[in-house]
Amino acid sequence: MNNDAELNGNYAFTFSGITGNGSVSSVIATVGRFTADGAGNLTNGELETNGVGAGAALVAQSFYRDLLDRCRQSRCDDPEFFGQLGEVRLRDAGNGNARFIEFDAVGGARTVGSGTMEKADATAYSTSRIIGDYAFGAAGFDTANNRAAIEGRFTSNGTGVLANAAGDVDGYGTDYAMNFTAANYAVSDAATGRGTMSLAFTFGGTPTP
Amino acid sequence: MNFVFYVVNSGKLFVMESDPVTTATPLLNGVVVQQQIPAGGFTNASLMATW
Repeated sequence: MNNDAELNGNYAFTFSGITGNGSVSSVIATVGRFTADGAGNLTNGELETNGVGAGAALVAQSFYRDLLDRCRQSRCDDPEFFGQLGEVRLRDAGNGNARFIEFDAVGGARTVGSGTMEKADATAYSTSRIIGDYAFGAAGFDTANNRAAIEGRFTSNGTGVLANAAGDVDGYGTDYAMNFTAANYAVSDAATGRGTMSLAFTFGGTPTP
Repeated sequence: MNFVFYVVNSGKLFVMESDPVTTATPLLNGVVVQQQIPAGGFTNASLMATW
């Protein structure tokens, strides 16, 4: 970001990385959204984090108050503005979007990761606006730091049903077809664009939990 | 698998798996994007541009 005005409006963001210390580490990921006013202030925001270990399961955090407090104390485009993510640096990706990294690891401890934030269209914050054909891809690690990934596609009917779903899962180095038994979604919060999605499938004869 | 997502626009979602992380449910995060299906379906020619 070259100046505060470039960070303006509604944004959605995603982040993934590794957290831990010199002897143990594990995967961590976050998705969320915020609103920036183009003058260095984040007027509201929220994020959800998932990770390994007790207390690291999905945590929904409205960091509205935290952001406001931080923004009153310093510019919101400085490395402090993400709070729970730790210190981040932004790199303009054009069109008001940005890539960012967390860089506050010290002595091999804390979190190292990267993500992207993109301008969000609040008029699309509804189940009915998610309609048509979609492709998806997601990757990460399990509790033993084994790599896994999925990719595929589905057709959304705009009412929460995902049809014609197909895909592949990389189960730690072996490719399997995803045989879908059910798939659905819902945009549960019209104010934030938050939603949930469930993909039920088998691969290699194994059903997903 | 269960995911939480945030809408970027009607053609893009940022998604993250919300299940507790185990060996059976790795923590996945990624993106859902609108798929443009060519008339007649996908062929090798569908992948033709400068990358």
